[in-house]
Amino acid sequence: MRKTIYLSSRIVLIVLLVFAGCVRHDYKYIYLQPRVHVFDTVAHNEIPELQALSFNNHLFSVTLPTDEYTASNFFSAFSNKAYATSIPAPTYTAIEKITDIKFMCLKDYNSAFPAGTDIMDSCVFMYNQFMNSDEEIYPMPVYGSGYEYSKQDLLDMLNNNPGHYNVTKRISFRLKTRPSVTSAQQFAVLLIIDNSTRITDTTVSFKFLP
Amino acid sequence: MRKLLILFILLNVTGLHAQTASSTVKGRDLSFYIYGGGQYNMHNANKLKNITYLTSQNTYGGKLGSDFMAIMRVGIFINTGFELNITPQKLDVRFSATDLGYNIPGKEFHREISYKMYTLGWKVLLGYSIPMDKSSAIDISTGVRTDITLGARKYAQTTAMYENLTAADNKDLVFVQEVSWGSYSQDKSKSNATGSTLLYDVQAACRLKKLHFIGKRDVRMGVDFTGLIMGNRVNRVVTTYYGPNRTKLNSDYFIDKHLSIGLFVGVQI
Repeated sequence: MRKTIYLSSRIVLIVLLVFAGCVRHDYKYIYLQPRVHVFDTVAHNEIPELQALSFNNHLFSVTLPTDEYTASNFFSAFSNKAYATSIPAPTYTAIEKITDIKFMCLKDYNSAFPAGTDIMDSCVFMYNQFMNSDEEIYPMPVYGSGYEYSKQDLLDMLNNNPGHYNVTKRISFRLKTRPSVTSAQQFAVLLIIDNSTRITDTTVSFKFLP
Repeated sequence: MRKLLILFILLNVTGLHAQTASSTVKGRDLSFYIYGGGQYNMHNANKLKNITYLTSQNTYGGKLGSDFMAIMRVGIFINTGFELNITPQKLDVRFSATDLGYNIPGKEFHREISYKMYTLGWKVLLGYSIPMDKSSAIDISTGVRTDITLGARKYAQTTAMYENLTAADNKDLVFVQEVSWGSYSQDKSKSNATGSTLLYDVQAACRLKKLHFIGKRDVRMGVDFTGLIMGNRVNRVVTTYYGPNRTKLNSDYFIDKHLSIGLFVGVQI
């Protein structure tokens, strides 16, 4: 009988050890096709196809939807820390890195940027995040020198993993140089991932007003 | 995993070293066994609807365990003990570029997903022992086993597969495989501190009593059948397929029902 009690006590000990563990959820995600939109910053709306837009009021917004996967749930039984009953914050890590972003002119823009060239170097960037990935919310950029980034700053922020919140990343930017033509313009955003994968989306066709 | 193995050995050796043969306490026949065996894992029985390109294979695994048996005079017995299981898992993913929406006839993809799962289970079975003659008996029992996973974090992986489909210098995302076993919660929004896989276990064993060639010890050999009752440490594989420009197509889910049939041989210690 003593041996039965002895054995039972060991079983209880093991169960306690196992069930005192805690779990951290770690997620990974991949980027899906980006979505690029053209906004009017005065009217606070997205412009439709073939609408004219004042150059001073334009803003491009690229949302980066993701597909999320459960990478692992770290089961920490037998390695409990002092705060065993607390649940660590989840982490979100991209499987891939965005190595470059290009914004291609699909039509002649000015003499420096003919059709087929990357105009990203002539842009000023703002980085936003928002929580609701299903809605295209007006990006509400913050203007001013303290809130403008270089492309490299932007890439560093996008690739800064892991994060603790599942947010859809969004980048907003404006062109610094004006077009020299009055004809309709259209652009394509090109997301280059791990230097080997390209995913793309195009803006609506629209006109810049002087 | 090493800590669990040490614990397992301590439990089975230091705690039981004094037992050399069965003893009778207040009308109960108490005995300890160590056993080993193999199991046929029927992963292919995990047929799920809407599976498109993912198939599973049946595998052979192994187990090692200990049994503590208390047999009453009336023949009813309780059997409890620990069991270490090694379960290989093999799955195949086969699809073509045209399945994904690319106009590239004849381009086929095949990937094998394989890994091993290590679990430590604690079982409690209740059964009836049918005496055949003075030297043997048949033990029929049924009960539950709860498993904890060993080293699962190493096998929880998410990986992507790319192929040059649209251009020679452009790698297109083809599919993402998500392999997770261990303390996995079905509901991603809830963290799960404990988690447990509860299995049913049906066992039939022949017990040969006091065999002379192993020092008058009993030997048990038999067959057992296990399957999943409930749990959130399920073995789970999800493959998600993507078309041109990363259009998400569909996902295949494999969720293990832990169906297995095993053979074991145990010796009384």
